[in-house]
Amino acid sequence: MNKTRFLAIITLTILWLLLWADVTRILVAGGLIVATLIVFLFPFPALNLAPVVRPLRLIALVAVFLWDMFLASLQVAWLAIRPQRLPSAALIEVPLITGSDMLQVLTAELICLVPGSLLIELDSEGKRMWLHVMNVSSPQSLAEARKMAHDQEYRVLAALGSQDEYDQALARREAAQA
Amino acid sequence: MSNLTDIVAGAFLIAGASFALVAAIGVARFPDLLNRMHAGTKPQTFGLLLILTGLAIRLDSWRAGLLIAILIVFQMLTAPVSAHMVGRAAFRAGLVNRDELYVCEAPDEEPPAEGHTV
Repeated sequence: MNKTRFLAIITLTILWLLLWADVTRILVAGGLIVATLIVFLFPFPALNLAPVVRPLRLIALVAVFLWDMFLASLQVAWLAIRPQRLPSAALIEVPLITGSDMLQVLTAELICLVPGSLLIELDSEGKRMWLHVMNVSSPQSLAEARKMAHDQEYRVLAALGSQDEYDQALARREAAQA
Repeated sequence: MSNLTDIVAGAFLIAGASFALVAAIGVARFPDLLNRMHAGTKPQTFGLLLILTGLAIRLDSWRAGLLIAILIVFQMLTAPVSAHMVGRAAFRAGLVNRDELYVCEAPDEEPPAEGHTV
């Protein structure tokens, strides 16, 4: 049994106990049995977990994300209730830096959770994704949409990416600011 | 103290419910599927997050708090996946009017092989 499967069983058992909100011998045994069954009956392809974790950057990732989510929720709310017609949207292609499935999914999920941007397609091997972004009707808002996606990937790589990919994201960020 | 927690929890509940209401208005008012997905999946998620936070403050019990934490995590894991699946299906089925987009950098007409997409 490899390390990932072992971790999965432990995590699922903890989740089971949380759902019961109680810890007894029967529940722990039951949780272990269910978790083991799930892991072996529904095997997932091996996933490379994040090689590095930078705790401060991780906190920054979560904090900035929650703040973004709040601001963007207000913006979409305003678009929904204001009397004018909805402005046009755009479908943009965004190149990704990371080749890791895990970090690509995380970046895409976070972008998808922030109101106003929606993942349409992701080409994992080609390191590209396509986003549908609301309220894009000028070259300026188009540039902002791309920057939003790049910044999200930068924060993910800063928190969990390998040093090499982090450096690349940092270089792209600095190039964009210059 | 209980007065204060009541007020804070109440504020969270009302704010959360307002976001859910606005999401519903958005779904009704926005003109096409993809824009509706924006309204239907995101402010609503944030609203639910606020409602659950208010609930956790009001209930003041670690058991309820843990369950609420699990709810939030799963909501945030699953909502974008369903939004993405609907959006991708709509795009592939040709339900997206490309003329109305400001910019349309469509993925290759031939979608990449199944195993390579997420």
